[in-house]
Amino acid sequence: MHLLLRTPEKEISEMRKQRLAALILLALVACIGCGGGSGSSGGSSASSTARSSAKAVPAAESQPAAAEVAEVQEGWGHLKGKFVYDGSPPTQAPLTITQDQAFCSKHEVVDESIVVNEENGGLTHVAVYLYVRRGDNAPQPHESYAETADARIELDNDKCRFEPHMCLLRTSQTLVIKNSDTVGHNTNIAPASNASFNQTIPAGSEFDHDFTAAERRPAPVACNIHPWMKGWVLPQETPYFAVSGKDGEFEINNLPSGKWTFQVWHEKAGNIDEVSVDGKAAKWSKGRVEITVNADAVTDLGEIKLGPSLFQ
Amino acid sequence: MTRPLAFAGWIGLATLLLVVLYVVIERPVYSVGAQGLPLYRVDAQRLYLRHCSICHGESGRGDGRVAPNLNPRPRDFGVRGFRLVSTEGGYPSKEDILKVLQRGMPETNMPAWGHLPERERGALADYVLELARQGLRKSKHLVLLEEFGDDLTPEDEEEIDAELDTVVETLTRSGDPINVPPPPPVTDEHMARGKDIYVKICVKCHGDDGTGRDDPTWRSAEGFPIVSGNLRRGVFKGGADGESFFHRVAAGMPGTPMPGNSQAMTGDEMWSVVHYTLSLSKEENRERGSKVWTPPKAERLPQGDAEAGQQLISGAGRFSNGAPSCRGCHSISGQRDPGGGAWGPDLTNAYRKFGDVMAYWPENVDPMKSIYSAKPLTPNEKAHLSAAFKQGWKQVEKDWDADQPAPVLTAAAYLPVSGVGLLVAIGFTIIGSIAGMKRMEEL
Repeated sequence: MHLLLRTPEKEISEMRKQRLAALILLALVACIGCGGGSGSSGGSSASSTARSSAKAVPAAESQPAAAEVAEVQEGWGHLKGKFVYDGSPPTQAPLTITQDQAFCSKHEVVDESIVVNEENGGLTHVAVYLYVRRGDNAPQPHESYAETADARIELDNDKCRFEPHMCLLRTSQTLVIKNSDTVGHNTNIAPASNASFNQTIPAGSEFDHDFTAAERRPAPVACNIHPWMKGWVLPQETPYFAVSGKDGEFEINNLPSGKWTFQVWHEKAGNIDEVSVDGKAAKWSKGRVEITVNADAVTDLGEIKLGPSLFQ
Repeated sequence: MTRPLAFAGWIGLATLLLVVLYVVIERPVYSVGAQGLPLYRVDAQRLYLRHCSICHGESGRGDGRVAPNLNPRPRDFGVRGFRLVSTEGGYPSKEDILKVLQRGMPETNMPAWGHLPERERGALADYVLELARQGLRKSKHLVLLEEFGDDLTPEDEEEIDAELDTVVETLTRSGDPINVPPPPPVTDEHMARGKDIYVKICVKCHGDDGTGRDDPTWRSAEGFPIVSGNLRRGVFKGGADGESFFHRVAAGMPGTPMPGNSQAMTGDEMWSVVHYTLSLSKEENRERGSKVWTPPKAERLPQGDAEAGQQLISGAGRFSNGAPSCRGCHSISGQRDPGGGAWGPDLTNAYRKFGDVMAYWPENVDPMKSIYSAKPLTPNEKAHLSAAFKQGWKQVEKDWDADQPAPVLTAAAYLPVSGVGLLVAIGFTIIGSIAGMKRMEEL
């Protein structure tokens, strides 16, 4: 045979190749065998796991803020400010009571979509909360927040309105939905990142609800039995949030010092993007503002004036 | 002699690579394997486009061609709010979807699909759930793009992707099935408690008498006006049996204002509400309302004549027992005579959905039943009708196929081609290995 004329080394390497080919082949057959057993879903889930785990590892260069934080987190500072409606205060129109008039009409139920203090123009219900990118490290909360980490935050159906109207809480805390009225309600929450929730709540009862994820914007709360009832709930990862009170004032305490971005939102205005801070016009793109918090000091933003055009 | 044999090993390897590529690329994306049924390639997309897309739209966004004419509107799967759920998470399990496919939704335009083979229904359920995930992802993506602005860095895109993964996973989690305790005995006390709860809670939307009401603020998750159900008519979208009703009371109807009650009531209390509420309607109405006509096992019809069928449909030929012609009430395109009445549904695509059992409708389905049971069709007439509808259907089918991109190999070829390919590959490998061993011996 002419093959025998070849050198033995060449022969042997040739055979090895054949052997190798056969082995690869058998391995592939085995692979298909396994793959076939688990069906197509196995393949797709495996690839999605691979995808998500790849994403779970944040790219090192995408964390400049984290690096910065590590550098300056030497102390804790405070933030405060006051939202002022820059115009004549709108009146809060009384709402039409269409259901349970006997009970609900006893109380004055008014439109709360924009609440301005007539004496000092302070704008209530503005939500100010820390904006953290996923790639960035959320700041470790100050020890003063540890005590309230698993607190129970009430959202009451009180006199045919929601109390509080704007309810902020941490995802580690529990929302207690409560009904102090003598009529039945239902609480319908439609968040963007959490599963929606809609349950009846009989007079005088309460139950707990947990949010698993933080929301980017407050989620609407409604009672479909009493359609005028409107509220908002905003679960957050960090404890660094506030709602402006009766005089439009807010404060967020014990922030780690450094440069932070805050999201500012009002139900009628949405993202608050055009403001005047201490007389100077400023543009807060997408309702976000960068603020430097100094250690052991109160950063006072002063009066933040919001023009009526924001609320139209 | 051994050289060509050895070459066989390499051919085997090449064949196998081709088979692997084919198996991977053409794999059954929507298999019903999860249900314990044999893995079988069912082209779910094709089924969906054929049966569902006319109402639900090609991507399941509730924007099919006829959607604007329907009330209630067909579901937009990309909005979280499947109404009929039996889970704690308020998102349907595959079984929930299958149940709706099996029985349809009374009082809506959603027909029953129980006549489709089980594996096709399984594939459709999987496909609908997948469309829902894709739709949700798309709408959430738009929101996030708005949030991040125009100049997306790779990090932004990574962040958006990661958030979408998490959000879609959260929003499509069905959670555990709702625990339905065994129904307690229906005593006077039990019914009185049901009434008490009804008056305190349900009455707010369903009214003192249970006839339901309208509120201008009520909207579905898709944004369309919605009214509360009339509990006296006995027609329930999710079924009038105790367990289905219990699920509605416990979980509510996501995507509508109807709240769940599982937080507020015990299982026994919910059962009392179920029993009291069911007592508001007559049993005969409930039975009629939840009845889904299942076609009889079609007896073999004699060979029909399509031409004679055409004449019976158009009225050019008369039914021997004096029944009215189809076109008196129905329109059928794809038939030779276009146009027809508007009383009944357009029958153009009916054959492709229902097949020969259509011939049994006249005597069995309301409202035709009242006319045709007194003037029945003869088996020959039924056969002619079937033949004519089939012919019309074939034309429509051809048109439909012409619009579709031609598949390289049909779905049915998947298993045979993979199998034969594999055998060929293994055969060559064995020959190659034998060759290798022979060479070893020769040395």
